Amino acid sequence: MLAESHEELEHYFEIVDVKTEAPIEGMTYKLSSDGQPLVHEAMLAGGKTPAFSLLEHPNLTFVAWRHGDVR
Amino acid sequence: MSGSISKDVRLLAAIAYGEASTADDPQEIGGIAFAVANRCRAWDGKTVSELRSADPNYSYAWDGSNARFNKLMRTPDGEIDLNPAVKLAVVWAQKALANDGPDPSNGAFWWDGPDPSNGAFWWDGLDFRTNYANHPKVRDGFKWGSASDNIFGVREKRREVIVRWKIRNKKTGQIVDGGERGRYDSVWISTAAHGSTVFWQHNPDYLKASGGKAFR
Repeated sequence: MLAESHEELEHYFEIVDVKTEAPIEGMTYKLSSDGQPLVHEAMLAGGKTPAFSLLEHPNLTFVAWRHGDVR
Repeated sequence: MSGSISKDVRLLAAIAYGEASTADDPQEIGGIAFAVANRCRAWDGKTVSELRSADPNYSYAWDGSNARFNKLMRTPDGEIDLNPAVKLAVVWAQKALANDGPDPSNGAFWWDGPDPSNGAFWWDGLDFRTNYANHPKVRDGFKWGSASDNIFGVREKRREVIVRWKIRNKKTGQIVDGGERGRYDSVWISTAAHGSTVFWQHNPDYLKASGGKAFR
């Protein structure tokens, strides 16, 4: 149980190097809230998604994939 | 070879023939044909032509500069049997699109077994070694599924990565909760190697952590 009021809380996703905590660059992502798209195919900034209100968007879905050509 | 071949079979055969080394290794050609067909099936059942439109940089061979690709694309149906390697590529393309093993009745010339790529969606030739430092899969991180796949004698490139969520108080900036969605040590993992080609798929740990699609 979180002590703070949900009105004050926001949540986000991040992708980082385990050892260095450095953000992983070059990842594209989609973010949706209860099935409705919030962010459609954007690049992670500093390895992070934007933060969204936990009260307004309690159920975020995050999908990420490497950006750019494979070969 | 009797009868005409479809546009998709011809395109797939040309990719496999054009991308493979000039050794005309049956498993190498077949593996490339299957890798393309595997990705087509996974990506909403696209045709090879549709895959080409969706990801134009997937194959080098179809950019017009590959003589072997161009040769197969221009070979009339009635002349396919005259070149064993061209015929090999066409048969593999047919089998890959049908997701079928080779016909044992073809005898020892054909490799008798399932998908030579072992479920791959991608492949790399010699450029993986010559362009190692700048290769996208090296930058992303890769590992060998089997030591025998390391036909180029290069080092694995692993990097442990974590995907996680955090909850913070927007007034204070303090992190108040969070959790791990998953972690992975490479984006790519080899599935097989034949001739001068290594075959790849995404590391399942990467797919689980990222939520991404296997074909993307």
